[in-house]
Amino acid sequence: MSAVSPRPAPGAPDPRLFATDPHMAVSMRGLFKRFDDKVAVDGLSLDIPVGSFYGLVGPNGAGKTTTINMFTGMLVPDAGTASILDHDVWADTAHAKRLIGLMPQPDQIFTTLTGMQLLVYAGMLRGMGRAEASRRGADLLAAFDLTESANVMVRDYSAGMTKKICLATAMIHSPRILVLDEPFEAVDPISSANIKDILVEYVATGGTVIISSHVMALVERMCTHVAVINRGRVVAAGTVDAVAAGEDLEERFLQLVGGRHGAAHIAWLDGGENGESADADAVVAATEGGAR
Amino acid sequence: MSGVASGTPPAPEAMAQPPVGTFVRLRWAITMATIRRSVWQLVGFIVTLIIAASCIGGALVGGIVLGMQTDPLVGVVLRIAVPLAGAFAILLAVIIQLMIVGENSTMTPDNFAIYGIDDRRLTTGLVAAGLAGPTGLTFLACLLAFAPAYAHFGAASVAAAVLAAFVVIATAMLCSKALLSLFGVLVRSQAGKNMFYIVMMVVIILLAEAPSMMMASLDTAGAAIDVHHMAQASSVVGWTPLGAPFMLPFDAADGAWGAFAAHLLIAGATCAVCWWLTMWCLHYARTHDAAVSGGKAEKGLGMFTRMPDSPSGAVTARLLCMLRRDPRQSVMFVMPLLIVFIFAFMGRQIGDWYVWTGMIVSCMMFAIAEANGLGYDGRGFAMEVICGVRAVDDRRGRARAYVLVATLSIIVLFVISMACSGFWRTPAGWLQGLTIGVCGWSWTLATIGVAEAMNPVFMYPTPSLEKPFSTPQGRGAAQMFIPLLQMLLFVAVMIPTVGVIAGLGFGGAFDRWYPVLIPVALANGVGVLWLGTWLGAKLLERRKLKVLDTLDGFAALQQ
Repeated sequence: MSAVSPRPAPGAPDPRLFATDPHMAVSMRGLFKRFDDKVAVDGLSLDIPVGSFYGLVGPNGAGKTTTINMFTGMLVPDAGTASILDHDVWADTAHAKRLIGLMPQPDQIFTTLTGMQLLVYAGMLRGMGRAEASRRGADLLAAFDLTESANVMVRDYSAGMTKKICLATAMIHSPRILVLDEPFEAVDPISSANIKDILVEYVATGGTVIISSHVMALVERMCTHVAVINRGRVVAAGTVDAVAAGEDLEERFLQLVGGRHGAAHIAWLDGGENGESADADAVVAATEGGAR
Repeated sequence: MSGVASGTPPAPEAMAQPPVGTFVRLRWAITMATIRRSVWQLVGFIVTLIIAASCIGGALVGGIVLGMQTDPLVGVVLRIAVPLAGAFAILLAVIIQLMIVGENSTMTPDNFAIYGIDDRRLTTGLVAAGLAGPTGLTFLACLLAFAPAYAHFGAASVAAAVLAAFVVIATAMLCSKALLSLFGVLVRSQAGKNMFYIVMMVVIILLAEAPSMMMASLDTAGAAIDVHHMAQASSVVGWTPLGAPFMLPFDAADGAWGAFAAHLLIAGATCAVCWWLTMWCLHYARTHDAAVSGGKAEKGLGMFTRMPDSPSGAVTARLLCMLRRDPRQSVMFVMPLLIVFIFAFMGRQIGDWYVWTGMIVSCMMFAIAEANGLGYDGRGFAMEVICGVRAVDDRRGRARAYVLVATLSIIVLFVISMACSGFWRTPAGWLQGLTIGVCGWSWTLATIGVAEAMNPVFMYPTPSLEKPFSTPQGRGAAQMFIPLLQMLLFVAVMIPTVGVIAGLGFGGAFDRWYPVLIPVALANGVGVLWLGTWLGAKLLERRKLKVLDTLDGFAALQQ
């Protein structure tokens, strides 16, 4: 990737006013991204300390994934800077990428490879020798309870297994920073507990884990730090205790992002006891909506 | 659903089955929504409308002109041609439906699975939606417009032609639906689907080539069309399920009402059986497990152990694994073999040397899929971007994979061509064969170079791996333009070699000096391969994220 120097977008804060923190695992200043008329990330600045288990939380469309994509070198920001372990992401993107382990989404992997092949592929792409990649692949498969499926094509994996193999591909090169977008989605409780153990152990060795999640209880239980993102901006960031400010994190989150309203009363939603029932056209209306 | 407690409200009776017309409305609602999605969709729709109107207009003019003819020969030709051409057209429509268009991605039974619509109603609704769709209505209008062609047989014949138009469309639609459903049930594993796709491609190529193969196999004296035999064939086809509806106007013209009823009965029975088969398949699919994996487990690392221990080696290994399991691309490696076979068959009349023409044509085909290689990789390409792989490693890895596969294939084609042409008998034949083989191989290398330079820039949506028969929206214009450009470049890059051939030919030195083509073609092929790989790496390095963004867009079209 050639060096890209994002320029300030009209109306966006000038990133030259801010310098990234060289002591942080990830440091972002004034990140800005617009898609057509919609501002997805609006001058976002955030520091993620080394050795932290950092949660990024926010409602749908808040800008979490866009932010992750920008500081991992997957999306060019319109403005702002990001550094990973004091390396400017957009000055040497390939180097920055080798420092991190970004978990691919299930549709971003080659599912016609077996689990073992996929891990070796991920390792070799990062310049590891085949033998070393194979050894680590076997260890990861064992850690994620996938040894029996090592020689099965990934397209035949369940959703949870696929999530686990995606996570394993992000870890094979022993990065110092792991970036995981909804890592526990569709993963069964046993596997989820095992993954959590692996991640906690990883953090204990000085690694940094950054996860985005909607599950507030999980963030509260596992993370040391949290940032609440809303409308492309950080509305609160710090240790979990500091952000929760003595309250339940979920309640605090709802206070910060708003949007809660009283339960809507839908008169006909009573199973048809009042004689009001869906007619055939209602079925079609639903079908049309689904089809679109 | 189990455990209905006494306090549970009864299932609302009013969750009645939606009327069939609802499916038709839904079909048109989706079509209109698609048109409104973008200006290009609207332009495409208008172009389609113009084509449809032209077809209908052409059928009307043709029908009126034929109907005004008084020459009895016209009647004879119609009697022979209509059942034969009609049955063939339905067969072709069914195959095209299976191959190219596939099931409409929205009006499939799966999308209605949660609504509790019974099998009978759903089948009828989907068939009605198909019949009332733009394609069905256009073909119906064409057939109705053609009805005046039977005017000189009398009014009864024209009326029967109008009736036949509806029966023909119903037969075509129901046969397509039934076969599509049947294959969906029979071919449930991914491996089976892959094999089916390849077999169907082979069938369609053979069907397309059948006329030229037959003509080539006829000697000139026997090439005259035997009207008597054609009439017999037409009569037989008229009693088959696909030919019967086309006989109705002729039965009415002859006043053969018994035959009319029999043909109508055959057509009706065909529709009924197809409808029942579609419903049975739907029921079977609903009550049996979803597609099971037929994919074999592969022990160990497979290709990964045989490739260089480097990022580019990983790319090569991954690509080779994919090519084996991706019918959309692997069919490109079956086609050269088929083409050589066809040319060898045609060469029986033209000359033994003709098989080499097939080999040369085949050599151009190996890189066709690679010219849209990133499109076929889809979002999987993201792994390379995530891992920060250098573009040059990607290009080298991809080029290596295609050079390996193509080289092995060309060796096989060379052996077949040598055997079929008899060139192996003499040393001069060996030299000729070797020259042609090296020229062909060099051309393949050059086309791979072109493909490596093209695919970071020119991409078009591909069907998904799971539904290789489907047609992603937005594919049309790009798929028309890009392969055309690709073919032009594939030919243009061999201009140096062609220039030397022309020079030798015009200089009258070809017979003595043609072996000089071996080093010339090799230099040409290797040079373009190197240049294409280098240029492709430069382009991909600059465009990686743009490519990823484009592939994300394509993935959305496959949903």
